[in-house]
Amino acid sequence: MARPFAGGTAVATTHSALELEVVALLRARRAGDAAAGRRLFELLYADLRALARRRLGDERGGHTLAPTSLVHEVFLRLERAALECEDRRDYLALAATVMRRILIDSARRRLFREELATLDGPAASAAPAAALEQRVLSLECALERLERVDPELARVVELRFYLGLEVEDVARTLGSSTASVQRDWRSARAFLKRAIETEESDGH
Amino acid sequence: MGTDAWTKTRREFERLRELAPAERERWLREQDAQGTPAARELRELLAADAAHDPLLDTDAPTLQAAWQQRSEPDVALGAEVGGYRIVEVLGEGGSATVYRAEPSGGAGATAAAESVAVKVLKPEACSPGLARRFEQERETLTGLHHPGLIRVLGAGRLDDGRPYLITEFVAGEPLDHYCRRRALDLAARLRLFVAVCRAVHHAHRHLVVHRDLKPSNILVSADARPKVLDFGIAKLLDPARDPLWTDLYGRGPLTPAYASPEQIRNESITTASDIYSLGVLLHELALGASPYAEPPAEREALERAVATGRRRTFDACAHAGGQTPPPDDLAAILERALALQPAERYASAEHLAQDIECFLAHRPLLSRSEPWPRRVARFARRRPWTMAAAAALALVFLGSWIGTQRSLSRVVASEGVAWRAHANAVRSTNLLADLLERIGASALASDELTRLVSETEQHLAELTSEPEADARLRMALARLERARKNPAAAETHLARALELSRTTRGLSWNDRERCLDSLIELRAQRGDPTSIDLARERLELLRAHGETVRAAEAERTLSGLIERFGPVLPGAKGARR
Repeated sequence: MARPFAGGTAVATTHSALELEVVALLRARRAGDAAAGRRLFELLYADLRALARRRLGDERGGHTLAPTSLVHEVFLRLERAALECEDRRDYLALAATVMRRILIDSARRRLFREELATLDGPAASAAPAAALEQRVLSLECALERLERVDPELARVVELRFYLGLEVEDVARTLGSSTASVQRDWRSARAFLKRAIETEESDGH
Repeated sequence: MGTDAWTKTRREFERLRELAPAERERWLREQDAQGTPAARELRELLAADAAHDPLLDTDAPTLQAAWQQRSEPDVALGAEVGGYRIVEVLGEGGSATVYRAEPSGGAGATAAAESVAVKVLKPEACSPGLARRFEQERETLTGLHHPGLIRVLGAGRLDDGRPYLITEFVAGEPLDHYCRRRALDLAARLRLFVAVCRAVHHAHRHLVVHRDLKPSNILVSADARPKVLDFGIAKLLDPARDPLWTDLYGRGPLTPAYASPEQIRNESITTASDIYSLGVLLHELALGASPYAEPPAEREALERAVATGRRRTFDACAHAGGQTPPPDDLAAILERALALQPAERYASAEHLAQDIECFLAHRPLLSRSEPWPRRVARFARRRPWTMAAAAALALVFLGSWIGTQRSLSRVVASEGVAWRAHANAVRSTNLLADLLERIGASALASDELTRLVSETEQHLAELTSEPEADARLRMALARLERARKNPAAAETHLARALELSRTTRGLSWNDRERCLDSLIELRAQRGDPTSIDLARERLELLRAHGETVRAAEAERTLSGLIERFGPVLPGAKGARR
């Protein structure tokens, strides 16, 4: 596909406004425009949340929620917008950070709601249901630690867990083999699981 | 922990986890003895590696989607339903919400292990039809007990009268996702598929047809066990048990990408319909791509492709799916499961499972005992060139063989022998016709084929006492002639075949319809108004056999021809020529 973007001006008509804006912002951001970075974050945040909601509505009345990688969808959309390689990697890194933020926000909100519920309701007792939300917060700490000691593994975690990309896609993005991504993910997973569980047992 | 320390630990950990458990343990003990501080950390990492994790084994988008609630949850979290306490929303569909719940009395860890799924119909979805379907799912499932099928634990109505269904909770992910995520190899995928077949077979034995088998309706648990869910549109085949029997013929909700041709065409649904859907599933698991070129979004085009059996070749699919083309036996299994005609598919999901197991064990397929003409035909479809030669050979055999049979039946005037000779001649001719058709245009450049056509024609002269064989061979020849850009010869063969098909018992209305269809086209191309009569005959034929969809198409053809040539008055047929 020919690149429809010349000098930052969009000439293609087939792409959505979002796609175009994201591409333009990515460029601006790389050129050192801090405001573009913030705007990009806000844009993606809203988009990813909306996407999650929409996917949910699509599912027919089964038990299942297809674990659709929402970001993957956005990713594909932007692929259509002929992102350059650099743009794409940038975009994915950013999207992963956004997803991290979204998940933490959700976990916090849910914990807060749970607290409210136990305050006014016929106390549902110390809810074990909140375990997953707690874990999300613990994961954030663990990932920060991993970022310090092994940034490469942290990168795999972002793409694999936060973006929900398939192993092959992670490999393609990072320019490595599926086998090595598989291996890295396994190591990262063990690191994080151990860190989360150590923190939990320390906390209690 | 610093970067260097972790790098070292990581290297040890990656080495250790590849070792056999005993060996690993021995090494760790040695380290313990030496008082290496890293030993404990390594143990913990290995333990973490081996254990399931509720958070890390899913992913953020999935979790986020599960957490997103469109508004207030419809049943309050913490509410009691049927002895269980609602804990979280698992999913929300158009008509129902599914919650995870735990036993009311339970506490902490044990309760989490006993999670159940509670499906509650939404207030706005409480139409009688949906409520009935919901009720039906419960009844259907209650009668089924199989590890591969979701188990019903209870049911009832909420205070506001809405029905709910409590089933076991499956912490798993959809089949396709599971396979991709773990990058499972073909054998592992097929083993999962076999388990799915067995579960479906169990349902079939209880006269339940699922009707909506697709990856998102099959969850695989962490211990690699698939479970089939969503019997929401399943049907009981036992009319005595199913008051909605007539519904069977009405088209319910369906997923075109996995539906069977007869489902799309709104014909009666049997267990063979599920076999087809299993075939699509197998196709996707083995080749990494759908059998159809049409994307699900283009629903109409996709439905047309399904209804007419217009699939891509396996090689093209494998290429699209980034897989290697399927081995012959696997291709044979797929062909059989995806046969357009329900009767040609596997007789049961169990048979399908057994053939996959044979394939996995490198044993000959059980379905190889199918009639050999069909096997040869399948082979021919894949290897047109080899088959051109084979057909030439078959022809030589056929010629001498028919001759022998003839004289034999003349000599032995016993009726039984004569009849057998007749049956055999018909069968071999059918095979030959089939071969000729399968060879198709791809091999037409060969001189061999030209000779084949003329030799076949010579045999036609000897077949006058075998009208069925005669007609079939002519139909096959017509196709070849058309491909050879020889429409006049094709027309002659078809006209004769049509005549025969009107009077011969061995030929079905389908054969007649095929003759008509080709002949109409040829004559219309030539500008011959008699094509109108043929089009009318075809329309009546299709109507008489309840082929509504194709009849509509035939009607369009007819009106197009009338428009073109003007109405042909009865009795004026010849005048226009």
